[in-house]
Amino acid sequence: MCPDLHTLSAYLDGEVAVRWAQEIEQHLAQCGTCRTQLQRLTEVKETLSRAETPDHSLPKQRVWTRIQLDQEAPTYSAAPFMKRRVNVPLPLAAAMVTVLLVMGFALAFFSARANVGTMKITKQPSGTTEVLLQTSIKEIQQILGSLESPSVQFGGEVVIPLPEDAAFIMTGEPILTRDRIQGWR
Amino acid sequence: MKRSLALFLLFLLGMEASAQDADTLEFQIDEALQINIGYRLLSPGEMPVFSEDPSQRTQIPTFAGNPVTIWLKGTNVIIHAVLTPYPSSGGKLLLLAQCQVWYSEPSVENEVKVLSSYKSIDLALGEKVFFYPLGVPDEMHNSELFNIALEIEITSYQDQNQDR
Repeated sequence: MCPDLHTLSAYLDGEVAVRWAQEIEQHLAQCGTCRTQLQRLTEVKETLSRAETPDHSLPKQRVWTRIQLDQEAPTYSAAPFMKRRVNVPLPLAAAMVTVLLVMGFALAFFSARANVGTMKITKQPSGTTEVLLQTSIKEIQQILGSLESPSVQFGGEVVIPLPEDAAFIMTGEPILTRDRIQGWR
Repeated sequence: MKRSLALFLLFLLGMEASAQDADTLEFQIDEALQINIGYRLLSPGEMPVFSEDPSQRTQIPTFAGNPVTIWLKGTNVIIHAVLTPYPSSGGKLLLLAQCQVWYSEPSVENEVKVLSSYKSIDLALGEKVFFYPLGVPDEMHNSELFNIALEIEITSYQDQNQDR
């Protein structure tokens, strides 16, 4: 049985075991086809050995130069945000804390004032009274609604029925007074 | 340092917000008012004497600036009075009474008159004022018609409801 081309190539390169090499030599002595194959392989090997080796020195030099440059260049890596150290001068830090505290208290103060609301009552020369309210009725209603006791209803209206057999008449303008009407008989 | 400062500020703001909510509610309850209304139907020649018994009065809790509406409904008259207390200077209150009276005179058929008025008065907590929505006749004893008088007293809601 003839050895294949890879086995012959290995034999030519001296890469097969001695026992197999003796077997192949005995076969070559009897087989002309294998001898021809071996001859072709020998010619190819000789042709390749005679060919000039390409010059790799220039690309090699460029690669090494690039590697050296990368190694010499400084490397930067971002530190995690929470682990960064920030150097702030002590007076500046104290000033920042003071400003933040003042802003916080101012915010709380004005928020509290906004909840309470303000009112301005002005009596006009004509006798009318001007009432300027700067509060949110919605806010008051929300607070009213949040009161725990459901039996207590703030504000609202009351209906007072008058006797059916009594007849009334307007006798003048409505009067709102601190004193009982004297001489009313 | 930055993290500690941020946590401290958050704690401060949270504490302030919770205290503010509680303070606001307490403040509102402390500032709540109660309007006590007694009314008298005055027959001819009668003086407006009001009962001192609180049970015979209508008690309406409210807040300064929050109106209380009173309807008095009779056969020939309907009175719609809106009472609104406002805080005034010196710890006093300003009571605004906006009143509309629809009435028909017994002698005139198919005619309804409307009178709208706006009155105000300063009063202290616990002080009584009187409101005559139909006015006051000069000669009450000669008239055969009835009149109406309202006694209005504004007190602190908390003082009046300590037991609740």
